[in-house]
Amino acid sequence: MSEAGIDIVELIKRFNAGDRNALARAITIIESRAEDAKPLQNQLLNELKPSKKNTIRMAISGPPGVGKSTLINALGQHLLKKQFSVAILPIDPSSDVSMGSIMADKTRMRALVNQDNIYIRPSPSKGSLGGVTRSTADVMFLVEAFGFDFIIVETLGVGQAEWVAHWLSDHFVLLLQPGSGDQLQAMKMGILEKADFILINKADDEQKALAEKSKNFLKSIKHRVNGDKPYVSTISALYDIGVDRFLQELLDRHARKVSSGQLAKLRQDNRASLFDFLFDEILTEKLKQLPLYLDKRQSIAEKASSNSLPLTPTITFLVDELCQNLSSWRA
Amino acid sequence: MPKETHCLGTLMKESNLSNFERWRALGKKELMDQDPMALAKDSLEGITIKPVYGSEDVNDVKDTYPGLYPYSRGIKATMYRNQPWTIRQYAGFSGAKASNEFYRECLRRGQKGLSVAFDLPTHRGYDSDDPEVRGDVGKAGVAIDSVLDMKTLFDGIDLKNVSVSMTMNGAVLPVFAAFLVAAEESGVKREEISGTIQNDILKEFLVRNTFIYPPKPSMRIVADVMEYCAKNLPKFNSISISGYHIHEAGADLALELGLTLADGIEYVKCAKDRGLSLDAFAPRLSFFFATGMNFFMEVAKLRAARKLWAKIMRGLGCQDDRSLLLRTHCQTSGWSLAAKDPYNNIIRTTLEALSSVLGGTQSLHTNSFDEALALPTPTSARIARNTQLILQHETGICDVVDPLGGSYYVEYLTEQLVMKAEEIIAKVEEAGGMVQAMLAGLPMRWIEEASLKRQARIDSLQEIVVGVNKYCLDAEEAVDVLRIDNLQVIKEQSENLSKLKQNRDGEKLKNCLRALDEGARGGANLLKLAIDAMRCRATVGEVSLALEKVFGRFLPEVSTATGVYTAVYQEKNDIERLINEVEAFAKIIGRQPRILVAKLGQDGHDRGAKVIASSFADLGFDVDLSPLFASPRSIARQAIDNDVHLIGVSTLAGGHNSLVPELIDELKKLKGEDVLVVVGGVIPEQDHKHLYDAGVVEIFGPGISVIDAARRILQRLMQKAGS
Repeated sequence: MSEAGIDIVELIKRFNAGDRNALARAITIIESRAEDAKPLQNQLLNELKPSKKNTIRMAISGPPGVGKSTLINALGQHLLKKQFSVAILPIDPSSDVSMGSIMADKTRMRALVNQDNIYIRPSPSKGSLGGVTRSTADVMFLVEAFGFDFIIVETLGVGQAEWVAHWLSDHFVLLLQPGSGDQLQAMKMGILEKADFILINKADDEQKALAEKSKNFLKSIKHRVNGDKPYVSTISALYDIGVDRFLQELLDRHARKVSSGQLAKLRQDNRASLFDFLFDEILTEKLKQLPLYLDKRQSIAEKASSNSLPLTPTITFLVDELCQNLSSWRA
Repeated sequence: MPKETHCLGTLMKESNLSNFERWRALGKKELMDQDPMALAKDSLEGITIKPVYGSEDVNDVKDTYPGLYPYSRGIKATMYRNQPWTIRQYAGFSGAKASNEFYRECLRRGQKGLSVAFDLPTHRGYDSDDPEVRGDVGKAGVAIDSVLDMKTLFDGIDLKNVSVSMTMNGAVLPVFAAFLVAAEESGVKREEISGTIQNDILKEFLVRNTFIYPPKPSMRIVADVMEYCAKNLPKFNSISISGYHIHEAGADLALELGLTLADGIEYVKCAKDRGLSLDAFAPRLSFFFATGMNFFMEVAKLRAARKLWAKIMRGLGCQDDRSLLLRTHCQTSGWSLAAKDPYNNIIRTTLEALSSVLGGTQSLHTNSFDEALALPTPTSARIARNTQLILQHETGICDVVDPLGGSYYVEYLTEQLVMKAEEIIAKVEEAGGMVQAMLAGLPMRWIEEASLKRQARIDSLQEIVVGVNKYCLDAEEAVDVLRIDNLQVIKEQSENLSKLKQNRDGEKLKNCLRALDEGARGGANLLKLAIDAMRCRATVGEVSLALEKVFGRFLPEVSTATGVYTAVYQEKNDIERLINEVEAFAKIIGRQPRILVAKLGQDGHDRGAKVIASSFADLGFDVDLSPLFASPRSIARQAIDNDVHLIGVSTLAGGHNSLVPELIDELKKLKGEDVLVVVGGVIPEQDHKHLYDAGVVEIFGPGISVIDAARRILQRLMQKAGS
């Protein structure tokens, strides 16, 4: 029996009463991969009431070691001063071999660890999905329903393919190292076009000049086909330089987007993209569990490896065969 | 004629066969046709250890004598023949009075110098009455809050003749100042005081974590102390550049050597930047190494250290020969001590002491056999001290200087270690020197990788530890250990503190603390200002806090390597089996087993915690790490917020008896009683019942294999899931 085998009605009651332990357990249930957790997950998501507050959703992306957690540590303190309650959801990489992970986020968010108005919940990636996990959207729903009004998702930070994190956020923040010319080259502008904020970290001491240079470079290149121009700035997360200015800009932009109706539109568009994406994901997963698929997959694999024909046509042919089988099996 | 030529030819042929080749042929016979050179193996340092050495292996080694450059054979011409090494035992516990009595007893029984161990709150700049640090007061060393405690500590001890070494880094300013004021008030002149202040902050950032301020102001404090000593304390070593803790954190010997000397280079630069002339302070630099069980490698390490340092210092432009000498203290390795069958530790310590001495150390601490369990008792301390007395008086070792000089093997190892260490120093230099390398986390990563490799070698029996992973006892014998009544120490220290605070001139004190504040913002020598403050009866906590207000308190990041443990561990089946068991658990439960690895209180030794975190992740656990120096309440909160299955507390500094039950209490208060608590580290058998009664489900001593620990934990979790 999974840990999800608990009194869900009681849990929802405690959740609604503001019991933080219940929030923690609810997230565990949402993230559970156990079969018998599925009904509980649906029950939770259906019965909990969506937040009525105007939450702000932010995602921070950037390469490993650039200082994402350190930035959140500084940002969180400014948010507390402004009376926000903050949920922080860092995604950490899981090992492909053992499925284990190390989540050291709290060691870098020391100033936030003991705050009542801040909830930090690191999640192992268990196979990355565009920079976040399969359940991040639902976990965000939970922390919003619980009453947090500022949500920060810290992405896995593996590079260019963090598009899901982008769909989940109102503000997509890209954090970079000073002098990251090579990094930018590698990103081929893909993620740059999505960023609402581009921050160059470690603009302190020796790296200050280099950071300024990167900033000027980033300001000069063309971003985004439409929408606001991104905010480009240097900061030092460690020494808390430029972080408050960045936050103020974010809050101003957010207010403008709310009053212009842009935010509602953005969230709607993102939701549509996310729908397409998750639909395919869940469909594929379901398909993969069908006994017919498993059998067929096996024989496809055997056939494909036993001859030396090019792979794509072989697979296409066999998948067609599988689909025919599926439709007749359905009927 | 032709016949003669023929004869000569055969003769030539025979003698053409070198002795090495003749040995090789003989060896081949003994090994049933296997080449004996195939028995060569790699040491942890990556040095090839051949089965035999000869003169051809030491071609490059020049004949030299002790006392001559490059000093590989010793820094003095006559060494122990003239004067044996100083027996200097590191000790301190409870309050000043108890430690003072212990010191006096040691001096009566043949010890020559003192070495003070301070408790963790003192290291971290807290007074004993600070509620933050209750669990650690008087535990792993003596609690010192003011000049008054320092006077009690050295009461009746002649500081003109007994040299004092103090392991103090983070709170070096108030503690060293208190010592100097105590000496001054007992009538000893500055120029008469001899001893050593550790003052080595770099290795605190690398491994030991008992710093207070961020790296930059910390390095400034180091320079302030060096400058003050160079001007006022001609017989005092202003720094003890320490490889000990790097070794104990799991570094191999080349890494210990390379990083320590790289630290040394950084300090030399730092003092030069301060405007001190090289030959004015270089002769007061001293070193401190650990001696582990790799007997000949340890001997070679000290020889290599001297040779390399002399070369480095000459390269930096030293004129005075005394500036080239690497003078060192050694301590036998605490990490090599086992909690299982602990009497074996007496033998280990004896061998380690022997290699320190054959390596030519200037002073030595021998560990007590029970230190893997707790603080030493009077009996175990006596055995440890006598180990050195027996070496000095009964073995004839002191009769000849550098008796291993010229040993092919030892000379070869010496050269190899010099080369390996030079490579490491070059890597540090390439990163921009030690401060930059450290900020980038490089040396920490090297140490951690070495440490994980070592653990995996032991766990998979590539290294045998008698009584631990082989030849184990069926039932362990109970060993008497020293217990500290921590509450009594806190009570006495608190009373002393309030007495001190009633009898001092508040106005004068305020001025001194203000001067410290201004000095920290400006460029005044902070040791001088700290001396003024301590003279006015400031406390260690007050001086530290005054500086903290300017510098801030440094909070380290914790980083860990992954994949190292499973890569080195040889029994791949064990690992696969365990990963499968973990996966089976995850399938039922819906997620990986999730553990919060926590350090509680002021104990910064995080080697064990990191080994567990990294290897458990390799085995399929989701591992949360908590910040260092967290309170029980904070850990409980983090465990519940992350919804972990269990908390693994790593404890090495004796605070477990109060801190762990407090953690379990906090869990109950926060309604998180379903979180299991396991404890690992140095925990005497006598404390087990207390901890189990408090609700701990498993206790792991030093020497437990990571695989076994993970399996036991997994079984616990399965049981719980089934119930």
